[in-house]
Amino acid sequence: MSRNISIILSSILFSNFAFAQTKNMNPKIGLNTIFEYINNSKDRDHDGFSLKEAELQFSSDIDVYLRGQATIGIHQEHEEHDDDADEHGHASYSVEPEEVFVETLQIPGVTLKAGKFLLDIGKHNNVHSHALPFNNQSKLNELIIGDEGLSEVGVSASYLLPTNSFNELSLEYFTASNDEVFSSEDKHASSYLLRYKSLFEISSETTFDYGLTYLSQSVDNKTEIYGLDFSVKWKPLSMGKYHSFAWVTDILKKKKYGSNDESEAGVSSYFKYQLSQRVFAQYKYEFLGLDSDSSRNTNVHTALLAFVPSEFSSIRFQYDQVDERSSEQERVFTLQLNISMGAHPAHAY
Amino acid sequence: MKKILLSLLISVASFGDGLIITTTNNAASIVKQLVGDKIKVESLTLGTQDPHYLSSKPSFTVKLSRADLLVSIGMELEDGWLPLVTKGARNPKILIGGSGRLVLSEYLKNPLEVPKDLSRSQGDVHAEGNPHFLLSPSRVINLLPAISERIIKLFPDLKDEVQKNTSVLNIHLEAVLKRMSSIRVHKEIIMYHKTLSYFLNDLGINVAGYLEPKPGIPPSAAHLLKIMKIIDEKKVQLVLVENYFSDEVAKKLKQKMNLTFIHIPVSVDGNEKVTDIVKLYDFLISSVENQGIN
Repeated sequence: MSRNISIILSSILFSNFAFAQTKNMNPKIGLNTIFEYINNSKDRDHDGFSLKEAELQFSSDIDVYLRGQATIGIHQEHEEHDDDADEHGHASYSVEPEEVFVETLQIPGVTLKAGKFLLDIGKHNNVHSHALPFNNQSKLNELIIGDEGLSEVGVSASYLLPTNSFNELSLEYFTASNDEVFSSEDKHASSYLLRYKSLFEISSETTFDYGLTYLSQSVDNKTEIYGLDFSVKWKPLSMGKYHSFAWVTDILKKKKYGSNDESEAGVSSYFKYQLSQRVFAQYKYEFLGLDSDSSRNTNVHTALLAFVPSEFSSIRFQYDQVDERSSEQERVFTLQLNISMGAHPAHAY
Repeated sequence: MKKILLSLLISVASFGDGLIITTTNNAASIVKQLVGDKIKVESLTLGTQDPHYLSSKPSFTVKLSRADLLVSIGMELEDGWLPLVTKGARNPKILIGGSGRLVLSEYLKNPLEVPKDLSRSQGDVHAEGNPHFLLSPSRVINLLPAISERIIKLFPDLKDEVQKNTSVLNIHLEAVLKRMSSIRVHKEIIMYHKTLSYFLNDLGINVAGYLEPKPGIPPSAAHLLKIMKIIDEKKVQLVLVENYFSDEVAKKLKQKMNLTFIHIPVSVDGNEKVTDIVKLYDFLISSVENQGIN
């Protein structure tokens, strides 16, 4: 598997990167790679250096009407495939199409999308690993959605409401294939997600936005996800290159119906302050257990310091302290090198 | 529900009086002078913001969703934020190649600083050359026909007005060029970033060194020592720092060496004195005129 991946990577990189920035019809190609060093006080299985993930991104206008995007993730495998790792004597990787979709260009006010895409749940499910605000997915997202992000095959329509401020309404209709999140009772049953996002400019320097999410399946033993998220962002008009601030909060709840109804909910909230052109300090608090008895409550504190030499590389030091009522405290130190080669599309606001 | 739908329809009906969006304030000033008060013109970048690093705010998508014309600079200046905003606007007119999209760099002849070898090890270089060409009045004179032609094509009723205003702006810009040819300047200066390359090239001024070691990279102590040596060797008297960069380094240089330092606006509304493109040129000319001339 590793050999195949290296052949794929080298053929793509050497054939296209030289042309990535010239005017031609080749797709824009980028490779985002995450290297990590982990030291965990509780679970030492993943300690040490690792190539956590490589993401290949392709994007291009397909014709007059459609634009296409594909993100192929190469992830380090854990647990289940240890036999393969033992056989080769080194870590094993899997290749997965995280997103492959097309979307319309020519319909005024509306974007239609079809393919495999990350569902628009809360603030972070549709953010790729290299663009996450912290070194790993939030514990809240891991609890409700899973650490890889929820990507399904289907269609979506999003509509920009003709109002004076930003208001967007999206409907995603898909086949629910993720057994961890969804009921596997009937995979052909319709599943849908409704998302509403709104943003107000408080001033030219400050914005407030919020979003509402509702996901459901049309089966008896269905899964429902509810979400509320909001953020305040500030960037001064003068010297905005050197200082900025963001406060971002996500609240998610998942309810699984069946013989034993299950419900899980939590909140994740972080502050991000830009200290200088290239240095950021961040703090995140998460509480998991909004919908359960206090014996299962989990509190997570995360601090991060990022050095960002350019938009194509960053070095981030992160410390997590996880307090679960039922077990000993977990302390994790993570050092991450995050790099981008080739085309690097703009990140969402 | 009916009330909501009705209010939405009313708000849709109220759009369409003509809206031109530009990515920079300098482009907005030029377009405003051509259309007068007949059409609303707005810039996404404000006067003290760096157009390389704007956030792709969703509120921009709302403006662009209603725009009849989007005037952008091109040459990768806005690549970090504009594609996401134009995509979110869901307005086919303003996409590349659309009737409502004007990329000014497509009409620029002989761009400066086109890199021979393209590599990110050289910092934030632009593959097609330096994108700050609107800071040269001579380049703007050459671009005026393309801008006015596009406006007239989209708003034929304004033909006479736009043609008249284009002639007036041409006269003002010719006067700026005349002033530029008559002033005395010191031939060597230090700048922070390559923002004024076209303007300084028109004046025959050489940039002896940049405070940034490479585009996008903040100054280091070792690099400043090199710059101090250049200042000594070439007898540089003037340091210009664009006012969206910090002036701390230039202030330190001024303390150590006998220099004039100006934290200079490079965009319309970059300070209270530069309220249009001609006033911006006048400010820039005054900043270099007679500096370091004994």
